[in-house]
Amino acid sequence: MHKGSLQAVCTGIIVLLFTSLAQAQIHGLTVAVEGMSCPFCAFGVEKKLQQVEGVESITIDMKKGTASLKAKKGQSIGITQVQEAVKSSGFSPGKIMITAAGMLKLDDKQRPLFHPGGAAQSFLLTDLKDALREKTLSLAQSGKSAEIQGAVRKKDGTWALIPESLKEVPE
Amino acid sequence: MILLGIKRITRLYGVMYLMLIFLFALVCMSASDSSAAPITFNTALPVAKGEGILRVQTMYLRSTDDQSAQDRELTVWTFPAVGAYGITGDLAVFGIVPVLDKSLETNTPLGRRTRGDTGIGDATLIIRYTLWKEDRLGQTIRIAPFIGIEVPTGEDDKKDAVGRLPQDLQLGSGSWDPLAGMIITWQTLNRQIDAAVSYKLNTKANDFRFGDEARFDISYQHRIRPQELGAGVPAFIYGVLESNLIWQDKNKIGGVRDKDSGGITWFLTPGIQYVTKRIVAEAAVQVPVIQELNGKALKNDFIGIVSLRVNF
Repeated sequence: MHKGSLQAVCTGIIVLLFTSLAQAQIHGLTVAVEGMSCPFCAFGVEKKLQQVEGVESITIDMKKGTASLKAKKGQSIGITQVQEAVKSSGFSPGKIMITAAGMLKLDDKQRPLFHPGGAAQSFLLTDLKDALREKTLSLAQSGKSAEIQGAVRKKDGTWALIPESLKEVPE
Repeated sequence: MILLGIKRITRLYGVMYLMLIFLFALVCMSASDSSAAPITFNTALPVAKGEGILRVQTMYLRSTDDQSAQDRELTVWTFPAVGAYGITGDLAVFGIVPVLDKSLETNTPLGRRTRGDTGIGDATLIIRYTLWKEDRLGQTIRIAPFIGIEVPTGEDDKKDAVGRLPQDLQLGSGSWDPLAGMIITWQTLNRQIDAAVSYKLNTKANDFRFGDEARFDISYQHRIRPQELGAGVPAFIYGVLESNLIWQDKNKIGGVRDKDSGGITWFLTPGIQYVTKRIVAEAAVQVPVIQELNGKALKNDFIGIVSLRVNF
């Protein structure tokens, strides 16, 4: 009986943890669409991006050459899918900025890693500005959750995130 | 004397026309920022994978400058419907199906006669591949070769009370005519330049062969409105100036060259485009600046074009 109760409590904790992680994700993404320079072309880009899973709305800015995507509630936007969608529209994906919530932790080399819940990948936090370095390492050491806005890039098969802003998300 | 007067007036109109073109170009140059796609030929800009574009056009051609006793007057209305589909981001197919209304008025011993026909013309299928591209923020440059074929879908053996219509009054050629070419497009937020070369190899049908056709087209498009780009995707208005240099070989009838066919025509084409995310509405006039046609080949007065493109 006592053993059964303990099992139920553990299951509950795991479910809660899972739910908390599932609520954290890439909920905003801005991609530079290189080559897009007329309104008629923007339509094809918008249509392909609309087909990316989890996307609720898209705002295209011709002057900046960017498409900003907002995720549906509780869903995450896939970076690779966004890049593929831009290629399908006939243009080239450039710089990608994300706004994401997830867990911070240290990898085995004591480097800060960021894992947005619902996202397919973890990000190695790099090029940390002095103002953010201490806070990031502190949150990563204690395995806290945070919302990060920054540019992502893939280098040697590893996804890197260069944070521009970071704030702790209360547990 | 009268003829000299007419020639002078024609020359005067020519000069005035060139001045108008020059002024138009100056207006375009002075406006800030610009871009879209040519009106009289294709672009190398992409069609998104799995997406389609439909273009409907109305073209009006009139040729009345016949000095012979026949005093021929040719009027051709063409309504091409163009469908484009993106197989991948780099590979697109185009289908063109024209509806034609051809009418030729001539003096005959029995008085003034009109002959002609209305219906579907020859369809054209084109496949275009983006061979190379350099995309940057707010600009792209790309090279896209294409190949195609004109399919004999139009009536090519129409007869009226007088007999079989002359081949160039028929709606179709009856022949399968391959074509190939290449387009270069440079587009920025401010302006766009397209240049294309193409060659159409006409084959024989009904013991008749239209002369091969080579084209060299250039288009310059400049955004006139809005002068300053704001946020989002505003509707653009472009001023367009195009040049179409067309050479056509002499036709062959029964294997013999027709001395009254073929030649060189150079059109200058001012136009305007209204471009949104979903549609492009455009209008242009192709005015022949040079017409070095062989023999008694009928010269063009002008070609008027209005067109609408819709993104699906």
